[in-house]
Amino acid sequence: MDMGKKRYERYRMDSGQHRRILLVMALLGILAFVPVGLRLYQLMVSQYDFYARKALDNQTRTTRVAADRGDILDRNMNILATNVGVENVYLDPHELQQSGADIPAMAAVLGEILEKEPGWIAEQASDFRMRYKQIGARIEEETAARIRDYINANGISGIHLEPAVRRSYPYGSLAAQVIGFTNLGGEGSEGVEAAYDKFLTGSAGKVITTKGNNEMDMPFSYENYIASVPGCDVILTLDTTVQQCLEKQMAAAVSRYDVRNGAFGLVMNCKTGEILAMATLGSYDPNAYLEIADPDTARQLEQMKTDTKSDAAYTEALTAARLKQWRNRCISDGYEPGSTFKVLTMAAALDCGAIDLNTAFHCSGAEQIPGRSQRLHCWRSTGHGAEKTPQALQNSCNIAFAHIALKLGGEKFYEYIGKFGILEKTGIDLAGESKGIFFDKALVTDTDRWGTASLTSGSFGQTFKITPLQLVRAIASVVNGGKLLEPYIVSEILDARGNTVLKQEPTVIRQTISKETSDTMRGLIESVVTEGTAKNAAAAGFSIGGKTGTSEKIDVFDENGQRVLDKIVSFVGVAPMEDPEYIVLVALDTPSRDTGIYISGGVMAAPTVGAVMADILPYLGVTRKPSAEETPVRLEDLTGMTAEEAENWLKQSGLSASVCGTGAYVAGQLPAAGQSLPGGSQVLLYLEAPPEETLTAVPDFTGMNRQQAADTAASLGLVLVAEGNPALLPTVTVSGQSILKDTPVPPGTAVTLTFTDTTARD
Amino acid sequence: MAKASCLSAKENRRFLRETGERVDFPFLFLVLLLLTIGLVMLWSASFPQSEYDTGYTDSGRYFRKQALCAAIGLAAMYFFSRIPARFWYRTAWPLYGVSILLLLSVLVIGQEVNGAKRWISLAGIQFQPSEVAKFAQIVLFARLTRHFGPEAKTFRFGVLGFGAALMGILVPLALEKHLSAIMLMGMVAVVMMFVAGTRMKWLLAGAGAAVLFVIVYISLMGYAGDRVTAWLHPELDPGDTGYQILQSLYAIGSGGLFGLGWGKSRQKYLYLPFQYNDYIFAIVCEELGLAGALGIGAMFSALILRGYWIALRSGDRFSTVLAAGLVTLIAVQTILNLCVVTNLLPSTGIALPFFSYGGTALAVNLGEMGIVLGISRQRNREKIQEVSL
Repeated sequence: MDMGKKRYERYRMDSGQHRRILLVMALLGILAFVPVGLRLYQLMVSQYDFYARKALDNQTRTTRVAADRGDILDRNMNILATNVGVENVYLDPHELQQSGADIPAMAAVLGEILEKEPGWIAEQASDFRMRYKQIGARIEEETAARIRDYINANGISGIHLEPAVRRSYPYGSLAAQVIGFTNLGGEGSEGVEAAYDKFLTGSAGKVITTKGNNEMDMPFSYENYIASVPGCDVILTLDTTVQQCLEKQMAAAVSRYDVRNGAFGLVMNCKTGEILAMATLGSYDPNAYLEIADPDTARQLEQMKTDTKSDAAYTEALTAARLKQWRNRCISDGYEPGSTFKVLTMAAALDCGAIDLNTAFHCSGAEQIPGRSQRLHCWRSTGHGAEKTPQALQNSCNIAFAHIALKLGGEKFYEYIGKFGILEKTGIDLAGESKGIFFDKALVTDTDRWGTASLTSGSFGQTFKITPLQLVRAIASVVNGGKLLEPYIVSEILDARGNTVLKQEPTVIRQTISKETSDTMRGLIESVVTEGTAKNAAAAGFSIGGKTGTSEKIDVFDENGQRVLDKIVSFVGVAPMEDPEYIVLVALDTPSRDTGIYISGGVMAAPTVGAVMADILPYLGVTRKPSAEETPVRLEDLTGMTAEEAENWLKQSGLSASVCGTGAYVAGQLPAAGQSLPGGSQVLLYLEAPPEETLTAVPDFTGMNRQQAADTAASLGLVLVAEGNPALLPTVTVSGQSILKDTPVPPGTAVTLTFTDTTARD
Repeated sequence: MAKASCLSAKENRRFLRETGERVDFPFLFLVLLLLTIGLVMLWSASFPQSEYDTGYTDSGRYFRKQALCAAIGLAAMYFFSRIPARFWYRTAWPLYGVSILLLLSVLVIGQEVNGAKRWISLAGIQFQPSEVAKFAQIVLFARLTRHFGPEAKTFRFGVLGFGAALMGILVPLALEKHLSAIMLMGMVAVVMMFVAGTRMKWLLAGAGAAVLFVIVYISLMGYAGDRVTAWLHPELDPGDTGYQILQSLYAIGSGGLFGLGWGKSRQKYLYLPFQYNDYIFAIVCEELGLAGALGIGAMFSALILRGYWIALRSGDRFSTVLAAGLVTLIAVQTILNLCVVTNLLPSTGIALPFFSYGGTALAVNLGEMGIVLGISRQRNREKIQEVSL
């Protein structure tokens, strides 16, 4: 400290210090910067690409922009699957905090609307450094509206709604197993949704943006937008109306015969292989595919949920029930075709000349067949007696067929089975097709070793399993001139601009039998309906052929290990027989013994197919061969006749009379003389002096179905001429009329009504 | 003097221009330039963090504080530039004593920020006593250098004398566990002792001992292995120990030649921690590119060279060593910071002068620059005397 008191004196640096400072100067002022400069060059120039990419990976967030999934349409462009707008709800916790919202109150309200825990919502809302917290996904419009009301009523800022999509199936359970559904991730599961997923999906777009580490937006951010490509629309060969007819008739049969285990059926075009309808009852609603649709099963599960000790058992049962209702039995499950299979055996035997139409058989009800240990019984224990080939099929005689099989021989039988496509998948464009279980070749060919049991049982469709579609396709080839087709469900795929991406054409796989054999078989098959076991399948005005089947399930056992005598009854029908266009299969699984109705394909399945045919053939434009009573009748002048004479004349002409008033002579008639009436029409006879010709106001027929329109016309004395859709369905209603409503017209005036299927939308 | 009378007309004009008690203009210009760029970069680098820390209500919190401290620092710079060096010569010991007291008081009344107890509040102003202690040490070393004279070459003065003075500061810093300050002051002390004349063998031995000490110290703290791994292979643990340095390298590397443009850094959006203080240079690289980074490096280099130039020309041993010490302090901080940010050295926690957020450091740095400027005036004053003789 003493130095400080002295006068401050300057001391010059000595030369050593000067030199050392210069050294330090060079070191710290220049040299030390060199490695830093080189390092910066290395990082920012040499390794720029590496670090730029690393930095971008680090900072960017990729947001998927889902592409619109394509629609699924039927052949008339009715929408079977589409997307509907729904909304997602999210919170902006920062905004909530800024606006000073009452978070517990808000969480309570939103929790109630969204059916979520308020505590959880409050937790999401309190993460106030975040800008996006989703609290509800894919909520419906009405829920969204409630939230919107709440936001508006309380002036809360920080609750937001954003658009989202949900898959919708306007026809509900109709053809559900064929159409399939999309899972929670929006991917196609089951059916067409799965099989054509890559066409339907399109390609998702991407928004790549840089985001701060806390998800905050950057003012100068990198942003790259890759547009999404919408999915293609898939057009099915399916016809909604046909599908509805099939499901309606099947459902009616299920309830009439108390069918316990569901039913399956399909309609195929036997010239092209297009599937017009394919149904599995015990169906589900793809709009809510996780819910069990069958009320009994649902009740059992609910019971199980409350009773059971183990959740695992419940979950397992639930999963099994779901898988069951999603299963398309027409392609995924084999069943024993039973007698329907005889068509194939006979076609094979006729085609290779093993039998002809005059080959004689004798059925005594039971017979010991060589090479078969069990005595073979015919379904009719008294036997069919002497029969020839056509009767064998008409009677569905097992003993005759065993002989046919023996004549045919195992080698030929197996060869034809192969040609008929029984040993392979049909190749339909749906996911989950199986090919059934057929005998090993040796089992039917090597009769020395294995006997004839498999060959003879196989000839009438027992002890093996094939899929309904395999059977239908094989029988289609029997009636269509011998062409085995590849069935298909998708006819065309259109991209979002409407360009055709894919078009499926009929594919002939091979010739199964000759055209001549096919012609013969058509006659035989028709005779089964006209004279044989399938008379119930007859539909007025159409020539239908087909074959019944009743098969026992050989592989189902009860808890005691006893064979369960559950039966599947079925019928395969073809129409029109002159030139077969459509083939229909209906199978009912396990009709109850309790109804008292004899369980057989002929009793149960044949009328069901007949009803389906009666519904769909007019709709599909197959010309009806009008029967006598339906021939149009030209009405004569009946006035002056006695009431009796007039009624007789009408009766003879296939018309009916409705008498008005009292009196001996016909004073007037409605419609007037000279009009042509469809057979069976009613004619109004006035026995007193006819009323003054009063004018009637034409009613508004729009929306009436055929029956309502006919009733209305009759009550007003108008004559009805129908045009348009000829189907007798409640959904087919009047869309237009030739005379405007409220126009005054004299009674007997003809009004032309145009009928349209209202469910067919474009 | 005789020399003056021999001046050519051109030299005479130059002398006249350089005289008049003016501060060294290039040095002043460089300081103001770096300060301006530093503030502008701090504004850019700090606003996302500021928004985040204030709940998105204020993007300028850190910038305003820094700007205020810059204003205080500029006032200090002007004030100190007018104080003759002999004032510091006289107050060297009291300053040193007060510094030690302040450092010790931190241990008692210090406030904890980010887990380190290094701040104290005086009259409502929060500051770091270690910043003052650094200055006090340099002033004392300068005084000792003048005092020891040629005897600095002896072990007694050159090693024990300086060593004792150094320990007075380092021991309280060690008690604060302020490792980065210890390292910084150790290095500045070595440079100043070298300038004073302490023999190289002692300095090398001392440096060796210090390195050994650091190694032992770090291994005793138990995370030596982690630190070395994180330094040499940050990519092995990108989420944790390697995170800081990887994020820094991403920022620097993605800058490229000309950068993303001022204000457009992405790494500052909370990817790079300490993006507005110790690692601000990484953001500078990202926004201004290699061109900007090298430009700023060149400015620092020029500032340091000009600073030593001023030291050499002061014509007074105390002033020379004082200026050289202050410039060394800036130089060592700058170089260490750049080396850490570019991962040439393991992470230490040393700020970049004029750029990094930190009010005390900025104000003290500017004040120190004021002292260097004051020393540059002194040289000019001498010139006047020379000319007038």
